[in-house]
Amino acid sequence: MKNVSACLCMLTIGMAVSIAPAFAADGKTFFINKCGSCHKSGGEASVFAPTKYASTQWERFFQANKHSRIKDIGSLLAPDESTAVKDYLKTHAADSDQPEAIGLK
Amino acid sequence: MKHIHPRTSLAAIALAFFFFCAPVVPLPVAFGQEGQVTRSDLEKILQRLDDLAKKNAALEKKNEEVSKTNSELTNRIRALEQHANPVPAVAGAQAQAPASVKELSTRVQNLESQIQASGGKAGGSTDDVAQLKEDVKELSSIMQDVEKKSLTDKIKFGADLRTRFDWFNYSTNYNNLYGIKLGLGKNGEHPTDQHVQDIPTLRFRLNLTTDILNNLKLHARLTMYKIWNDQHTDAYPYDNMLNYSRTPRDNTLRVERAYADYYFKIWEKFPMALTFGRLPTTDSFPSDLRDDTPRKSTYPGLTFDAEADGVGLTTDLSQLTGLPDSAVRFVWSRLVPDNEQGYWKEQDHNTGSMDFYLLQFETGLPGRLRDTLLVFNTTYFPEVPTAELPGIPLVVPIKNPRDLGSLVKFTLFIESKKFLGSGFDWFAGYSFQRSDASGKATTYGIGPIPLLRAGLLNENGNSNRNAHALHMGVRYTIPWELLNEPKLGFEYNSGSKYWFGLNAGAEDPLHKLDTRGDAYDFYYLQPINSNFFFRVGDTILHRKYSGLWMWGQPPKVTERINNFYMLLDARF
Repeated sequence: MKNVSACLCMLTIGMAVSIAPAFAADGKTFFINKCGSCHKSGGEASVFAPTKYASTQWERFFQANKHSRIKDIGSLLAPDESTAVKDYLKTHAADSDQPEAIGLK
Repeated sequence: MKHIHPRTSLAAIALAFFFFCAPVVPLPVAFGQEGQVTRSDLEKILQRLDDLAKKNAALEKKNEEVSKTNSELTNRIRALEQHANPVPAVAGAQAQAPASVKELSTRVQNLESQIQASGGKAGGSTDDVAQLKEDVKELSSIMQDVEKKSLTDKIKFGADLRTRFDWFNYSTNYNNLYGIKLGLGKNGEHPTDQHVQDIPTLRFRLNLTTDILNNLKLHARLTMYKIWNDQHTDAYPYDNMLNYSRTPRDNTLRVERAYADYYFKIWEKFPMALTFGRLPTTDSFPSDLRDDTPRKSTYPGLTFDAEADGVGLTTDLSQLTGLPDSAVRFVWSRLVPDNEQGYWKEQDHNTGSMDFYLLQFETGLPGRLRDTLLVFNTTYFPEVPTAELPGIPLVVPIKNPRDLGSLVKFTLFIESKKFLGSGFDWFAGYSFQRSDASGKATTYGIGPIPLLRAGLLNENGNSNRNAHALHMGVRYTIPWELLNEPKLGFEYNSGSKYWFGLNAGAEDPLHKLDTRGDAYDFYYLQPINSNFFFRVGDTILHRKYSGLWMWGQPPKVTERINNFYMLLDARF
């Protein structure tokens, strides 16, 4: 029981510490909040998932700034945010490791 | 072009009439005097007016045609100029106005001389266009081949390769098996220390996925897992039940998973999926943290981590609950033991089949906790049959009651990644288990000689048992970009005396979640790149009770096992 208590304490301390140093750039958050402001059902642009392209294609998309051909989003995404979104999209791209479970689509 | 307004037209006619007719038709001085306008004079005047109106209309039409022609010519000249000189000219007000025929002729002459001077190459663009046309033609041909291949390639392949080195230190005060005391001391004490150095193993997994239709997908995983340069060794013979391809054996590829998902809707708001085959039930939560992968299993490790064939039905509840990834799953599996006499009849001493049912509700959480998954699972074994005892082949069931009782397990598990936007991932799970004995126990022996009795977590066949287990841990991603953000992890789990884990297929060779005692696990994970990582770790087990699975009374032991390991893992 002592061990359990010690572990619980360690976990609690860890959790408390973890809340303080928040990571600066969370690609998923930017993807949902910023990209999702237009790319949504009934929105200005169509909904898309990171699996729309393979990782290399996403890299090329950002490198060539292809979004600017349709709309310039420089004012919407700061450079570090854009990098975070790119990393998120690449991590979850069509050729990335996909989650697996019974009946998971 | 300027169109003449009808009113302007009539005024012009009237004016023309005035000037043309004035010398012919004397102005009336006064009615009734000499020189008065007669009826015939008026008729003549009217006739003349008609003629003039017709002439005017014809002129207007001709003027329109000339203007139109002029405008067309101007446009054609501009197009020719544009073709000859691709740099757009500054469009001035005069450039837009129709040019005169003389001006147009001059411009045509200039263009002709320009084209002649360039040898027929208008700004060099003719060759460029021809080249581009050739390129497009070639690319179209290539794209057609690629598209055809892409459409006919039904199977997507992936693979992962892992080499692992293990060191084991094992010490115990007792030496017994299934309660049979093998030690030489008064109570079977037999202090032992053993060290196993540097066992290298190799695991290769081939992952296949195919989208047969939009609503039908097939998944498979073929696994080879072996000790280096050994074709025969079963490294962990005691834990092979529901664990065949995940035990180091030989270099044969075995089917670890092969299942189909069929997605359908009976009610619009509740999308469903029927899944059947060899199910994704290994690599349970939270091994996704240790292996740095997305979710790879259906259940938490406290519930189930073993190979299983079965049928499952999933209902998506996201629209009902408004929570992400909200679903309920019901899965039925059956363990059918070996049957040496044939498919339709059993040996007398053979063990019976074991059905198990799993009902699981799971959901993601909204907002800043959206990378959190909450799972509640119920696992139910309605009839636990007698088992053959692995590891002691001569000891077989003499008296075999088949049904030893039922067992139910409730598990609550939560896993949160990037907790509140931080670099911490954590998880916690608790499982409560209850067994109800049927009043029967199996007698094992060699030939007719009975050696031991084993019921469902008892030796008399009558005792009901409660048990519980706890599993928690944390992983921290160190924000060192130079080192690709390495990860530090710690896990702890404990199981009570009668705890029945189902972790035969677990990734760790000690199957620590089966421990009746305490287990500690530390690891450091160093990503080399997105497809390759290195992990080093240490797992420490303190076993207070031994025994396997759910058969028999767990014997008291004092065991300590230390497993230090290093592994290299590459995947695509």
